[in-house]
Amino acid sequence: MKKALLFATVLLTAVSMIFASGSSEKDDVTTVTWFASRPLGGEIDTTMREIAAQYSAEHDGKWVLEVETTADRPSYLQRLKTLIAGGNMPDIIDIDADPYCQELVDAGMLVDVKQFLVDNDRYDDFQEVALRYQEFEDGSMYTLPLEYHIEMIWYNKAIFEQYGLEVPQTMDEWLEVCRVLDENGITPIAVDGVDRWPVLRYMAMIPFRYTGNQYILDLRSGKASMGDDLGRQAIEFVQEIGQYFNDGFAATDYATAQSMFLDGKAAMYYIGDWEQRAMLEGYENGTIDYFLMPMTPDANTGANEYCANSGIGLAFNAETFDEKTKDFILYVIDNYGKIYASKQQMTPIKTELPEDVEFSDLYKRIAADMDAFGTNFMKPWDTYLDPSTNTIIQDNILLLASGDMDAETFINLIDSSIQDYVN
Amino acid sequence: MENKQYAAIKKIRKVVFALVIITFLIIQLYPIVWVFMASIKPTTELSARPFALPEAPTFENYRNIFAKGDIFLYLWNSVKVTFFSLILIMAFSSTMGYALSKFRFRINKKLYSFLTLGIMIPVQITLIPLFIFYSKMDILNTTFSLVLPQVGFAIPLSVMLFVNFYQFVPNELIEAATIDGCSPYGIFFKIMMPMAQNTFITIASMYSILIWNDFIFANTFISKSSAKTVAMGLKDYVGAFGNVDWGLTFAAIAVSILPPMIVYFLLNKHVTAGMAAGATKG
Amino acid sequence: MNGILKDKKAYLVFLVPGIAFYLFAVFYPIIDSVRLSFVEWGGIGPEKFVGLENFARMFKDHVFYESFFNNIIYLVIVVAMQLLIGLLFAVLLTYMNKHVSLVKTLYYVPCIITTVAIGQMFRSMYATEPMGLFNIILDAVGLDNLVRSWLADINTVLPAVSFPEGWRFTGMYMVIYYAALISIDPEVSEAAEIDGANAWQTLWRVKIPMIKPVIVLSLTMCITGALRGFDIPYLLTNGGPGNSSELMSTYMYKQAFASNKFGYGSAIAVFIIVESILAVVILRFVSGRKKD
Repeated sequence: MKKALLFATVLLTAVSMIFASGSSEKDDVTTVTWFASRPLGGEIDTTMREIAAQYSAEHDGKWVLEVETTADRPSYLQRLKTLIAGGNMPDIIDIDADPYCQELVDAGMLVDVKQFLVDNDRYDDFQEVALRYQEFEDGSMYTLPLEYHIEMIWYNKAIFEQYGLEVPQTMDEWLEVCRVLDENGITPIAVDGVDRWPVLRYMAMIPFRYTGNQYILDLRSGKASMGDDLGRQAIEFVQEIGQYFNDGFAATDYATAQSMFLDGKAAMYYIGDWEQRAMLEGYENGTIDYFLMPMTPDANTGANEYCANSGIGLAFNAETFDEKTKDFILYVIDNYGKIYASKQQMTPIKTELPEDVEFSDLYKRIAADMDAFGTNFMKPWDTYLDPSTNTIIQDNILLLASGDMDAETFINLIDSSIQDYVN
Repeated sequence: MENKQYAAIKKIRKVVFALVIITFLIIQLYPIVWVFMASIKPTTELSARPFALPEAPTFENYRNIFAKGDIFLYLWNSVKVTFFSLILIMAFSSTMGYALSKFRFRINKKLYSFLTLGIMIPVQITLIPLFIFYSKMDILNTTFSLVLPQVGFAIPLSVMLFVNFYQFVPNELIEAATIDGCSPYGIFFKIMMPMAQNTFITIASMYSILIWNDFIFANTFISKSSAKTVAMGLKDYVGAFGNVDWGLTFAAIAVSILPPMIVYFLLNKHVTAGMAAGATKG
Repeated sequence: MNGILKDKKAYLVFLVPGIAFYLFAVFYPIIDSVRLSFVEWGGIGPEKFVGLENFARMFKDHVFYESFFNNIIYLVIVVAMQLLIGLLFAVLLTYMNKHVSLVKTLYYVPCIITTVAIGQMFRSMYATEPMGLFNIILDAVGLDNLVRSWLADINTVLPAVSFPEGWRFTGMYMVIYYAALISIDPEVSEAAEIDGANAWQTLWRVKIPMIKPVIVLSLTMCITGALRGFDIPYLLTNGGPGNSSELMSTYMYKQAFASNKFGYGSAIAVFIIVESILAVVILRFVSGRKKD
């Protein structure tokens, strides 16, 4: 019987212990939860934590920001969706202004951030493009940017010189540069196909040059077809440039693609300024440089208009957005720019560059390109398309680029998925 | 002459045999070696030359993950989940196996088939229903939220192993004990449990590894960083736009596979003994 | 199932806690999935009952068929590796005199490593940029025309994602088969040899038939395991390129969590459950009939 008792005791202790989650909160402390998807220990993460700690100290510790981070985006989105499906939306979330976000807005779950900024006189504190990136098609805005990036094509200067290549000004010249490199046995472009989004960027380029973001807006709402003239041109471009991607790009991950370029095994690499730290050494010793998205002869967008993004945004739970949270967010807006910029980051909130930090030439050049930015910016297609079409286009664009799928099949897949969604 | 030839053939055979065994051994062991090698390379070198020997071995990756310190918390969380799951799995499956194999009730056969159904269920289907339930009960981010599905999905196979084992405990033994005045509870604790020692160990070693490595439940039911398990912690080194710091990740992997390795090598003898008892007597 | 105890109270005490746990963790989600498979729900707002629409849609969905056939190929590869290679090495081990336990222990090691590590290692192995181990070996043995990026080529990606799954559990099945083989009474095989059977015949006619129950059990385990196979394909290719390595469970997961179609995803889940049960019933039927 002793053994039986022991058995039962162990069992009971086990059961009781696993139910105890051990979170005892004091009543007078306000805890706000930020469900985040930013790299842990990255600049945004650390800046926000610094600000939150500062703010908490100013309020005698009666205010706490709890950050729950999942850096890996697919896992993050899955968890966010399950949280929301379970009726447990956190106070602050990270989300792109995509159709899913629109659904949340339509359900009245998110705070109108544009209204909030205007009411509190903070709208003009931001870089205009950074805010406009967060807008929905109708101009409303429910997400607040914490970063600001432009994207460019990095190239290996030594390889370009060796084959007497010039920086391409037009898409055709770009393809020509690729062709020459390819003929000489050099991998023209290193591409991360595992994450899908880098390949999708190429599809957006030609339509953007001709119509800005109008084509993708029409496409996603069923007004345009992937088989339209413009859609076909986009497909053709992906097929053409796809030949110049590294062998097996569909299975090449981010780190591998980047190191191929940095090791001089590929001549070009498309990535945004968030990788400037990786590029800095090569840029400073003159082996790496960048150019911006090339033009088309009769383009309707300027050479100073290309892909810019202000990343995933902050959105606020309409139910829990009280005065205390508002006060904190205003505090963030007033302090974020400076702290973030001092970490050599491009900030979405206008700020004087701190003088005690020495900024690299690369940083200054990117900042200058940002200042010179036009009014149109190429918005990634994945933020426009509905979740289902997004999955389909991301899966199949790899086949299109590698020549394993013909244009007609691709057109049918995309069009029928969009029709499904629109209906 | 013939004898000599025969001896030569025998020798060649022996060498070929050894070669086959060793080749397969290399194939099976290579990943461990590779994980360790990857963990002492800087990330840039790892993605450029993944299969070369490290040029300048560095423990920088380890220093970084230890400096952050979160991994210790993750390890502790994993220990908790694994420990409690194992206790419940063993308690439930040993008693259920006993009820199903040593009691005479008609429903047993049906119950048993019903239980074995569970082996075929894809675990992913539980994510949405359980999540909604947990959030209603407010038990997300607790150890229990991971223990429940782990135990539920382990029960079918564990019960099967116990039933298989108990069937070889002769009924006469139980009859004799009953005549001696032993209650069904006494029989379980004094006879069945001690005899089934190997089955317990088999299940413990099998499931400790599976539970320790679980990603999918933890990824869905845990969102607080203070409740993360070590398998989730491996995703802490993802940077902007999907750029993974693989050097750090592999250092964390190397740390995370250490505990199951130790468990496995310590219990190894019992594992195979238990498997012989558990699997073969079906 | 022919016990002798009849104490009803004790029976319930032993049975009920476990059953309750099982019902709640496994059965409640199944029922809920079945319910969800009849609704349309994007995760926000109320569910909408749509009857059999999700199933009708499933049977018209060409990706569903593609993932179904992919899953069959995946199953064949995984099961063949785990069964045949596992059995082969289990048999070889029975002929070893020294170090058996050491070798056995080490063969089991891949089961211990987390999937994240296995996924990333195989991705590097299959790659051409930088040259992965597979391609290095192919090149070294003169098969350089086979060198390719195995995960990017739509003709090779499916076997390429199946292989790691088969490989990692081969050791486990080997341990099981080995345990079964050595538990055979030595007198049985000795008797066969006295009757003039050679080693090969003894193996096929005597030993393998004797461990058939174990083989059937492990076959059940690896078939159902393969039908719900998920993590390696998910991590290596996420079903791509296109849908050429899509399996049923990755497709289900994609539909539910990437496309927000919880109803449709649940319909696929229900199909997987039915299909697995069917497979096991068939297996039991076939293996049961041969006995007679």
